[in-house]
Formats: sequence, C-alpha cells, structure tokens
Amino acid sequence: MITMDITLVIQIVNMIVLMFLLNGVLYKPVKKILRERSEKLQGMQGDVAKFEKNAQLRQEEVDAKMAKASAKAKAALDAARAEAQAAGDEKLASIKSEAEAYKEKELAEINTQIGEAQKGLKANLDGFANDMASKILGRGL
Amino acid sequence: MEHPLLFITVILEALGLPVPHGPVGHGILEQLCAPYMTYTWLVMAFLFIVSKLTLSNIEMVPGKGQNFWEIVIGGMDDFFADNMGRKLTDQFFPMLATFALYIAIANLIGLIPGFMSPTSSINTTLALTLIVWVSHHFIGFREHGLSYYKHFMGPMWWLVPLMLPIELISNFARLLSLSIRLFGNIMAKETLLGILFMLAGAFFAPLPIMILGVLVSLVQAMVFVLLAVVYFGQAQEHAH
Repeated sequence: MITMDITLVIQIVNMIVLMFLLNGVLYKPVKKILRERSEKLQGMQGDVAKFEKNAQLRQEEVDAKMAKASAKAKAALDAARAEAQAAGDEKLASIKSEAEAYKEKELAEINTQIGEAQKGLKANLDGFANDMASKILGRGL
Repeated sequence: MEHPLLFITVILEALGLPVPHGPVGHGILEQLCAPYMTYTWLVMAFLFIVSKLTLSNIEMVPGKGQNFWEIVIGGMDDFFADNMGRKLTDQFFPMLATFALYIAIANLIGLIPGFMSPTSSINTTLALTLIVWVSHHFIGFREHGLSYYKHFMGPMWWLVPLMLPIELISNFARLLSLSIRLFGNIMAKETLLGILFMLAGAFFAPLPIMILGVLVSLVQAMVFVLLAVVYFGQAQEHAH
C-alpha cells in the first residue's frame, strides 16, 4: 500500500498548520510561564541572598557589640579590682605603721619603767643588803 | 488495509461523501476523504482543543492540565537544547514538539476500535520526513553557506571519490529510513490488530499486541523526533 499522491502535499500543509496552531495555543504560553517562573524564582533567590547577607551583617554587628561590651566590662572589673587592691594595701600599710608606732611607744614606756624599777631597786639595794646582813647576823651593823 | 469500522468513514458515507474503498482514492475529493486524512484532522483538532481547554487560564501556580503541559514541553525543551544547542531549539521547537505530539497521538489512537493511525499511511510519514529533511539542509546551508558541501566530502581529500557517493546515498536514505520506519511499524501494528480482531476479537486475542502497540507508538514517536534532532545537530556542526 505504498502509494503516494497529492495527499502528501496536503499532509505537509496540515503539519505546518498544526505547528502554527500549537505554537499559538500551547508552546508560546507554556514557555512564557516557564520563563516567567524561572525569572521570579531567580528574583526570589536574589532576595533570599540579600536577606541572608543582611542577617549575617546584623549578626556580625551584634557580635562586635557583644565583644566590645564584654571588653569594657572586663576593663571595669580589672580597674575596680586594682583600685580595691590599692586601697586595701594602703589601709594595711597604715594599720601596720600605726601598730609599729604603738609598739615602739609601748616598748619605750616599758623600757623606761624597767629603768625606773632598776633605779629604784638600785637605790634600795644598800638598805636590803643591810637588812639581810642584820637578819643573818642577828644584830645591826 | 481497509478497516472494518471507522466511525468518521461511516459518518462521511452517511453524508454522501465519496470514501475510497481501497488504499487509494480516485479523484481529489475521494483522496481527501481517505481515513488517514480525516483522522489526521481529528488528531489536529484533538491536540488543538485539548491544549486550548487545558490552558484556558494560565497561572503561576499551575493546575493539573498546565502542570502536564509544563512537564511535557519543559522536558522536550531541555532534551532538544542538550542535543542541538539553545539557538536551534528556540528556532525549531514548534516543529519538533509538534511532530512528537502528533506522531504519539496519531500512533496511539489506532489502538482504539473505530479509529485508525494516520501514520500507517506513507503519505503522512513521508510528509513529516520531507519537512525534517528539507529543514536540516536549510540549517546546514544557513550555518555554513556553500561550504556545507564539506559535510559530504569525508575526512581526507583522496577519500572524496569514495565518500561522496556514500554520504549522498546515506543522506537520501534518511528520507526512506525515517518515513518507512514509522510507516512500517504502525501499519504492521494496525494490520496485526485488524487481523487479530477479525480472527479472535471476542477472546481478547489483540490484547497483548495492543499492550505492545502502546510501547511501539511511543517509541516510534521518540525515535522519529530523536533522529530529527540528531540530523539538525549534525547539520549545524562543523564538517570533520
């Protein structure tokens, strides 16, 4: 049944007509919507990238602020600690010097008292000796 | 082959139009009323109406019909672009996609009783083949100008006397291979189904062939379009 006739030409025309028909109602609209969607998707991806970048920048800002604040807090703490240490040292030194002065004073007083007692004892030494000798002898010297 | 019952033929006969009772019609009107012509117009109308109905309102978020077409057309577009480049795809997409859809539907309707495949006529398949053949030479001349002849000269000058006839024969053989492959497969399917229907239709004898027919119909549509894409791609390439 291989017979070729004028319908061959008509079929060619039919196919060309079908190409134009389907191009109008099928291919063009579908390709257009596919293109629009991919463009929209690309735009959205751009937005997402932008938002992600913004979020990253914010995070970096917050991190930097946090680092700054913590450095500040550490410096304040160190300063307070150093101040307290200095004040404590000063106080300790003053108390120490006060105690030293008091000790010196007391020591001097005790030395004076010892000297006085020695002097008094020395003064009474002869009397004692006499008394002792008289008691031993049983008579006055 | 004369089909026992084709509803369009019955309708045309009832309208008093001359339907050929044999493979060949006599006179232009009889030829126009031949089943492969009327069923070609049916397939054309089917494709047009279905795409019109399913794509009546196109939205960014697709419905069922639009989704189907987006997968089919997007898939074909990617496939063509992979095999012959974006430029040729943009130019020849309507032709190749129309061939794919038309051949697939035309092959498949033959499986329904009362219908026949327009592709079981050599006139239909040769028409498609001629369009592809002329187009691929058009692409060749457009891309390379007159130096397109180098495609037929083989890799070395002293091989020209051998290669030129071979290349010319193989190029003209494309006309035969494309058209007769499709025609032969589908006519064989139609004939076999017709015979099996007549012999043992009541015992579902044609059923295995119908299942095979679905496969053959789709594979033949794919093969035709794939070869067309390959020919287009080759015509565009530089001669080796």
